Amino acid sequence: MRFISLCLALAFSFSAQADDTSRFMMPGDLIENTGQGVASHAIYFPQMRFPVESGPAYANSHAYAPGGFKGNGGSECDPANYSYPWRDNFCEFRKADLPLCASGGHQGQDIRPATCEASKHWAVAAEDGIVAHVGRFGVTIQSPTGTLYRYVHLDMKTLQVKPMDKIAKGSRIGKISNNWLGPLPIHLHFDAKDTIMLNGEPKAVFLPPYTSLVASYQLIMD
Amino acid sequence: MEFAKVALAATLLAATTAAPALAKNGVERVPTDIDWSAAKIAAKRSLARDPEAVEKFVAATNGTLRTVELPVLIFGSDAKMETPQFANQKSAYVAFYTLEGAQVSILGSHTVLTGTEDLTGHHQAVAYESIGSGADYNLNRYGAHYTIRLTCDNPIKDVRCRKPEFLNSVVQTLLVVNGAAQ
Repeated sequence: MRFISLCLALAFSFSAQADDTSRFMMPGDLIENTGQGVASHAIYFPQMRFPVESGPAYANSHAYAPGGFKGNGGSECDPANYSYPWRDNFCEFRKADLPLCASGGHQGQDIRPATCEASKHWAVAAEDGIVAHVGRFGVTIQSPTGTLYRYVHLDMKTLQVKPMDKIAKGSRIGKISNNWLGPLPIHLHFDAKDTIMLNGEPKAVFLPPYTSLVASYQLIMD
Repeated sequence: MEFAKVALAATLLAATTAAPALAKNGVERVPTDIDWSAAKIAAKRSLARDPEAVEKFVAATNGTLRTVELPVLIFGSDAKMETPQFANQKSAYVAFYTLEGAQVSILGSHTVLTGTEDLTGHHQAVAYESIGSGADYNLNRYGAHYTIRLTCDNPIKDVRCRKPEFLNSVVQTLLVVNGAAQ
C-alpha cells in the first residue's frame, strides 16, 4: 500500500511540474524580436542553489518590460513584471553577440525579487566557493570546480562578504537593488561562466542559466 | 496487485513527460590533463625573468601553492600591481588585485563541462569580451583555463574597461608561479 501511495505521489508531482508552463516559459523563448535564445533543456548547473534567498521571484527581462529602457514606458513596479510565467532572457540583444547566441548578447538572466523594493531581498550563494571578485556593482563567486557565478546591481552597502572570503551555498551576499551608473529597474543580473568544449576546443563562455534557475527555484518553492 | 502495476506505470509515464527542468542531463564535469612539463619550464623562465614578483607572491601564499592542481598564473612587475590576495580551491584558484578605481581577478580552473553538444557556437569565442561593468579575458594554458576579470568603478569613462588594450598588455606580463606538481 505504501508503494502504491509513493508511486501516485511521484506521478502527481511529475505531472504537476510537467504542467508548470503557468510558471515557466520554455528555455530559449525570448520576447519576440529581442534576440534568439538557446532552446536547450539541459541543466548545466544541477547542484546550484537558487540565487535569491526566498521566493517568489520573477525571471524576466528588465529591459523589454514596463519601466525598462526598451519597455515603451510604464512603471518598473507594474504587476506584469512581478507575475508568472518566467521568461528566459539569455541572448537578449545587447552591444555584441555572445558565442552561444545566434543573435544577442545578454550574458545571463534578469531576476526580480518578490517585491518592487530596492535593498530588501537577499542574493545568496549558488554554491560553496570563494568570493573571487568584488567591484562597484557586483560580486563574482568561484565554485570549487571553477564555475563563475556573477551577481550584478547589488546594494554594495549591504554586502556581507569581501574578496577571498569562503562562502557557503545559500549564504547571504548582498541585497538586490538597482545599483548602476544610470536609472535601472530593481533586479538581480545573474550569470554563470564555465569552460565547455566548443568546436573541439575548450572555451570559457557564459552558459544559459535559465533551466538551472528553474530547477533550483522549484527546490525552494515546491 | 494490478493497481500497483498501474500506479508504477503512471509514475514512469509522468516522469518521462515531466517539465524541461527535469530533463535528463548528459552534462558532466571532467578534469583536464595538465601539461606539467611545459608548466615547469615556464615557471623556471618566469622566476628568471621576474624574480621579485614571483618570490613576493610565493612568500605571501604561505605554502598553500603546493596543493593547487593547476599552474598558477599571476601578473608580472610590468603590470605595476601589488601582490594579489590569493585563494586556493585545489581545482581552482583566485588571485585578486585592487587597483585605483578598478579590480582585477585571475580565475583559474582545470575542469570542463562535457555533454554540451546541444549548444552551438554561433560566433567565435574570442579572448576579450565586455561584461558591462568591465571585461573578461579568457585563455587556456598548459591544459588549464583562466578568466581574467576586470571591473571599473566607472566602466563607461575608464579606458581600461572600455578598450582591450589594458587587458591585452597585462596579459603579456603573466608569470607561471607554481602548482601541485612543482
